[in-house]
Amino acid sequence: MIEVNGKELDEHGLHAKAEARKRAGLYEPHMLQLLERDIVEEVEEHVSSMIQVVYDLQRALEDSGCRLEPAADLSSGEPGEKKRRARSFMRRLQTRMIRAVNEGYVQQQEKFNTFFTRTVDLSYRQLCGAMGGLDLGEAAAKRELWLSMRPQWDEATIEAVSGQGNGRALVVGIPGCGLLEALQDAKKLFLAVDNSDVPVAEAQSRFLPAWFHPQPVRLLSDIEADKLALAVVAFPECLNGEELGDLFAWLDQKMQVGGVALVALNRDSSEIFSGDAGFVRYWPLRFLEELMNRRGFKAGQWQAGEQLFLKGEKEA
Amino acid sequence: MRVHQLVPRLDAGDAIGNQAMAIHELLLEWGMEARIFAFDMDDYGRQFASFDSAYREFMPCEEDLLIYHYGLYCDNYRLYIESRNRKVLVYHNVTPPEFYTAFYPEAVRLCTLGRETLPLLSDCDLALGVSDFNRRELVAAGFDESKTGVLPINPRMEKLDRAVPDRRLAHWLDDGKTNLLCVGRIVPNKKLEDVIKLFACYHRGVNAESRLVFAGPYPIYTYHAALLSLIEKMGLEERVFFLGKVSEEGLKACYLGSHYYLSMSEHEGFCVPILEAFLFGLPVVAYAAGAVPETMGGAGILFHEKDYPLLAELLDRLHRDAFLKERVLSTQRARLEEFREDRFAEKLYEVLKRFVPALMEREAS
Repeated sequence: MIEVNGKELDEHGLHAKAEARKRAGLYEPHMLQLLERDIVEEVEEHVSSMIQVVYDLQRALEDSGCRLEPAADLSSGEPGEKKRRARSFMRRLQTRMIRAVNEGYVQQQEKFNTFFTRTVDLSYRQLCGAMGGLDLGEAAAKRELWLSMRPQWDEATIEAVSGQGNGRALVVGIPGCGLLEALQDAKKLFLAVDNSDVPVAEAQSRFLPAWFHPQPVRLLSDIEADKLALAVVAFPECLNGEELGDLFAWLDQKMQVGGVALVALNRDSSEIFSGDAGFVRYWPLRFLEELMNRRGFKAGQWQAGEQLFLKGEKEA
Repeated sequence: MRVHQLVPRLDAGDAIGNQAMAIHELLLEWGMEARIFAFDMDDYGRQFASFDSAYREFMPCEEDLLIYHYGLYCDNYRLYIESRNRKVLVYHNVTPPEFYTAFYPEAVRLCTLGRETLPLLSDCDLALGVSDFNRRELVAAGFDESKTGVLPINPRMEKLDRAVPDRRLAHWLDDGKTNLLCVGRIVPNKKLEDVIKLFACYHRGVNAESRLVFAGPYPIYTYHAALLSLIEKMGLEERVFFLGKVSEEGLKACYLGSHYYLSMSEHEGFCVPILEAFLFGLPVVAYAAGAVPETMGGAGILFHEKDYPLLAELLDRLHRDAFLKERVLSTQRARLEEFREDRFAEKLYEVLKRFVPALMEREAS
């Protein structure tokens, strides 16, 4: 109903004109569809594209060596570790002080990095909030869901990996029971650990030595595993920086000279973790290389079947 | 005795601030001791108000009168609750949070808090809505109906009327195109996407020589971005303009240079721009929601369904039918008379005289 000065207007003429214009094709079908469109749909599209931009930016930063995760502790885990860590810390502090005094821009850079990281994080949170209903809790749950996926490796990869190292093998993250069975057949499998209970349950049902722990690297400190010859880290994305640091500190002690550490590089995999952009953050290659080199592993990329690895050989 | 006004903010051009200033000036004119206290203020507000913490020293005095303006959640409602002054609440309305859900979570929180706080303010001597729509919301929130009333907004349009129109803006608008105008903050409850849809029909189907102008700040960037996206999809980038917050001079140029005023808002506590459009002789075409029908008071054009092609024809008819247009404008002018400054003063006087003995004495003398 239309009221003019409080009185109802006869709309018949207006309706007829509007219909005539529609029939004459003045209002395109595309426009008529847009008239029905809810503005919230525009927001959802806009927010999704923003999330993609933030995610692309994050990838670009990681590729260029920027690390937005807390640093792993790269000090050696030998006896007197506390002292070494303190020394390492003091050395880094001194370096930072000297840099700060001599090169003021370093501080600015640090500040920039801090604020930039926060801004990226905040933007992401705000965008998730703006999507309506997708709060951080849901985002975290979704991330967990993606991280709990354990796609199986192809046969060529399993064959190549199980042929590495002449001694006991440790698997962190289970890429299907095929690898464990191949290692078991070769009498190499020492232990497989994972923070997802599904593959562990499957392996245990086949009487394979597999164990579940939310932070599987913590299990290792209580295990005697001398003369380890092969370590396979199938899903490094599922470990945080501290865990990765601890794992390689442990491998540094337990791995024999000539032993092999394989860290899967999953970023370019077409099926792994690629469901929703932004929920999984891959470790930068440079960071993993540095982590290996610091612990006495000579690192280099290695392709086995369809899977790309960072392969580290323990040096004397 | 003294009269204190407590507001969340005192800013230039803000509806709550304007109302507080209108009351303040009248109180001073009537020889009262009057003060304004605000949680925050801009440079304009600083000339007239003190920060609300200064109000604490007057809180114990039972003789004083406190007028509390409530239109958005603000912590200083605690002062209102704790005060022992006699209390008058002026309710300007809080936007329902659901309008913001898809756009701005923080606004959802504040609006929810604002609405949840309203019942806590019911312990007062008188609660006034700036429209009957607002008064009914007060009653629904648990206020005693016998202690409620209406004190309409004083639109204070003299300053806008006196302003010299911005030359460049006036020149830009005066190029022969038909200008459709919408004034106010770019926020979701105003349903500006529907204004764009109506304009799309008008522009495509009726009058290709037309443009749509939005004058008002855009505080919610996601909503603004969504509107821009819709405009792009409709291919109206060259025809729809967001001017942002404009000066009095710019606003006057917009009103003078436009041909129609559109409102698709689905929630308004009063809607001052409608009266401004009345003042500058723009036919107002508005969706009947919130306090809009009450503010228009039987003048202008109200519609109850958003049938965009039909409304585009209505604009065309207004353009062609000079008699119809003049009938609309003359009713709008008559309606505007009811919001004259002296009418507001009379209403305020009626409201306050039972609380302020000095006013009664003044009347007797």
